[in-house]
Amino acid sequence: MRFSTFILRNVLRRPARSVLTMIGMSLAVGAVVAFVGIADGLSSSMLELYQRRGVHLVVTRSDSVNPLSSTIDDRIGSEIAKVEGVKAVCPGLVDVLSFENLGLNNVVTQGWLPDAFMFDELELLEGRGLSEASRGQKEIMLGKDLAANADLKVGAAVTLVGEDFKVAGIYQTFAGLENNMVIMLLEDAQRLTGKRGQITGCTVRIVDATPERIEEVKAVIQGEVAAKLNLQKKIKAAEPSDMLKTNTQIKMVKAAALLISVVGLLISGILVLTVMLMSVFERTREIGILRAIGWRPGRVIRMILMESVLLSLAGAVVGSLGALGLVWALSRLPQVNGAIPATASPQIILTGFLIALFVGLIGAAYPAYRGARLLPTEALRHE
Amino acid sequence: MNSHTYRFAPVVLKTEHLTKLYTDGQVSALVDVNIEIRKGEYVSIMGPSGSGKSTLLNMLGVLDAPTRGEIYFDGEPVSKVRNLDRFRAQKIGFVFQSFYLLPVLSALENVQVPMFEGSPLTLPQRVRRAQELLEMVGLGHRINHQPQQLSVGERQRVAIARALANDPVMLMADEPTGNLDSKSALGVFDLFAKLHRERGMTIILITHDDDLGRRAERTIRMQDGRVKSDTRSAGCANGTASSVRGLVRPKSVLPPFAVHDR
Repeated sequence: MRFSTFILRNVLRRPARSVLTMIGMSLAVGAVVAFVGIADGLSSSMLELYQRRGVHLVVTRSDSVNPLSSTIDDRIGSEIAKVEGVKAVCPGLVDVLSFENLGLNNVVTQGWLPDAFMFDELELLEGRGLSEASRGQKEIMLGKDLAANADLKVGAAVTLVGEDFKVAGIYQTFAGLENNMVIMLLEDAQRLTGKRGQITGCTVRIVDATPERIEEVKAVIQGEVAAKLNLQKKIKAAEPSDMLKTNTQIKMVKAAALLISVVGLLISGILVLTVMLMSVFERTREIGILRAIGWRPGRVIRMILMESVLLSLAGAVVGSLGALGLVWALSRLPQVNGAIPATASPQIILTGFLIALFVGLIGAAYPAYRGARLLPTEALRHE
Repeated sequence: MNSHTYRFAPVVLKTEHLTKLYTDGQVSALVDVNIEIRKGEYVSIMGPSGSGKSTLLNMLGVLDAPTRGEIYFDGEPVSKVRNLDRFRAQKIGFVFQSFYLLPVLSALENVQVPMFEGSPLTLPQRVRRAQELLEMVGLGHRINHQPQQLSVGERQRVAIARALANDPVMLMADEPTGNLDSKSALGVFDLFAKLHRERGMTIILITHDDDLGRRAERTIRMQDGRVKSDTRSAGCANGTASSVRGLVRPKSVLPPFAVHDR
């Protein structure tokens, strides 16, 4: 008989209790994997929007809590274009609109210039894209998921803020987030949202983008360009990853994920502690016998820790599978707008397993100590 | 076997002024006990409850430390032994009144439990040894039974096989027949006699049962923590001196103890 067989037998001795402990652990690990996975997925899918397009800097307002809902003078776009080292600039306006006649609320809308490089990554599925010819034509493009949800085809009419628009094309992109958006020309977006002459920010591509070059351009934008438009200390040029790090909404999602994880882990740790302590008390005499027949305290400790780790890792397997299922189900919800990728990254699942291992060991540490401390004579008297 | 035989066997266990006071320091469980046990002896310790016989067995089995005095194992003071757990695992086999088999393990697996400590055997050798021990105690046909599927007498036999797992120097049994019906008890005593006779095993056992106690060659009677009498009853156990020295050692991958007994 291997020691591992012995451990397994001990765990299977109380199947109901083992299964319940495992479920408790799986809920905690599942919550960590699902919530941290969602938070990370959200930020990485947003990061991908920029990285796939070769965006080196994102210019937004720096003096507001939510840069996505505040605006900058749209002349900044042509000023940045003049900065040495800048390859291309794409000013954009982001807002949330409702399709009144379809009952769809909170649809993210992007307004771009007709020649914006941001269009490059859109793969046209039907109809045609927006161009100079679209000016004054009130045309929009729909992401494929949005088109499917709203049951809209090319040529369909849509009412947005009292104006009638026509669906010119339906696209898909690499980013799930964008497949639920409406894209229109910047001027139309500015008019519909009442933000004439305003943009949310610019994405900037830089020639030969070494870290030094990016720093230089960043400094010029925040310095001279800002000064020219009287926006000193009001705008910020940041690399996409830095921008997402300081994004309040992502920070809040991450904080919530962390909180849920910590609470889940504390509860599961206490669960493991209680169960293993109970198991040690129940087996007082048995552990005493093992000590009497020559087991060192170290082996008793190993026995208890291994039992706990076995339960915890089994919980981690179930929890991770559950979390993957949950994330997948969430990613399918239309309300999620494709912001959540359909799967959690292997790193997060690995983290879940490491956490289970850690909680299993920590939770069983005191019970193991109690078990190891049992004197054979005391335990034998325990009849 | 006659008691005089042991005058020539080496002393395995010796106590000097062994005294045990319980924590409050008032109750003396053992007072100045001086005994010598020679290799191959079969000793029963008897006495009313509270006489100190269990305390004495705990001391001899290195389960508990004396308050004063010393125990010598093969001439070495036990108080100098660094790792008492390992010492117990390798030198002493314990048999308890309530068997204490692990309920989740089969008979074969229960016998292997002590082998996790202090056994040089490989996994297949351990399984084979456990099987041989179970065959020796007459349970070769029930090796895969769980304890609850065995009769109490059979359980105690499994416990005896377990006590022999690491080829100990001596066997210590605390009321080994206390929970057995008289027929099973006799069977267990026959097994002890056989171990003693055929393998020269040193056996120390505690018993209440006068009849069974008298089957041992030497009886130490305890009263109020002291040795009241220490008598050798010649001719009660029918072993021979040759069994002590001339053990049959058949070809086996296992250490000398793993004798096939069929």
